[in-house]
Amino acid sequence: MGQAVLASGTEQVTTILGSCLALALYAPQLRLGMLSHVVLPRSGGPTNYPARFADTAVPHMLSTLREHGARLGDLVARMTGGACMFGDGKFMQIGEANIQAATEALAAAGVRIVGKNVGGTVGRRICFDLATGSITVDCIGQASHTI
Amino acid sequence: MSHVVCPENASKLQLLQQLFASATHEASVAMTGWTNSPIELTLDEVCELPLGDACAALNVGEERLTMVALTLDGELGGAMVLAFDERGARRLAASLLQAEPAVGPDWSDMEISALTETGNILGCAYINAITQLIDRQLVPSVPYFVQDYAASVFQQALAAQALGQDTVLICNTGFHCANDDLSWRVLFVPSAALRWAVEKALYS
Repeated sequence: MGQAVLASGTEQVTTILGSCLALALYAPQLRLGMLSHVVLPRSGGPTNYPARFADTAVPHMLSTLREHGARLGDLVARMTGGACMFGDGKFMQIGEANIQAATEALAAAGVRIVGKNVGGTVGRRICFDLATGSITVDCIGQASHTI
Repeated sequence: MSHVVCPENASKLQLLQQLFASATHEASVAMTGWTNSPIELTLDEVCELPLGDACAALNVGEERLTMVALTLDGELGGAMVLAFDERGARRLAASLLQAEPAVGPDWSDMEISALTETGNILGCAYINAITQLIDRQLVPSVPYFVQDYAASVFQQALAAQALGQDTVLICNTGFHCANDDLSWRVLFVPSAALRWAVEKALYS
């Protein structure tokens, strides 16, 4: 939770999601990408944990990917997660808020979203494949879905 | 389980341990009455864990568990998750319904009701003990029945503490019945505001 991973080539990054949002940026020509496990939508200011918040995760990922040779115009985004696992009060809104904040941050940065599997009420186990940039999403009792 | 205990937090955790041990005892009494079995809850640990490591440290990941979750709404928030493996959950429901444990994949409304009421009783006993300490009203939600990846559910519970803190406080409680471990667990995760209110009451 709240961490980001840089990976490339034939590597795969896996994680489990509930209300958290997995935000992936990928440079196809370099087969280079980064996945942030976003917990909350907004940081409210400077933070030592940029990957934890949607509004800081995107700039952090862009900066890191640029350092490794990626160009902004080559990057595409995929996002998955942001479910509501239980509750109907404020907890209902954390997943949705994560989705909205990430979408806004990507739009502000000019990064195109090419895949989404978000919201709902079920958990997700995901695998980010750096060979293709795709994310495979597994929910209990459902067929796998690739974005 | 590995956990972080800074020296200056060690005494705080000890006081919290005493508080939640008292709450656990109240919950034990309630559970024994509800199930008509000598169920004892033991507070295994009050621990402070790095957020990024919390799910791994709690040893929850890709397994599907049957859970009952309650939230604390309002200013002093938090979440409680009562978790069972499938067999343990089915056994509890059957015991409460005075029936044989079901074996099919789908849970009946009666089974779900039995389990959620268990969560309600346990959660309210826990919350009442905390309420008495801090003299502030805590408002529990209705219980929610969830069957999913355990980590997915725990993430939502932990998110309430993630703003402004790198560590999360978790009360990890185990269940025993007649000296048998029941593979049940309850995790109580207070929000930062509730955690502060509890610590303030303990130190006053």
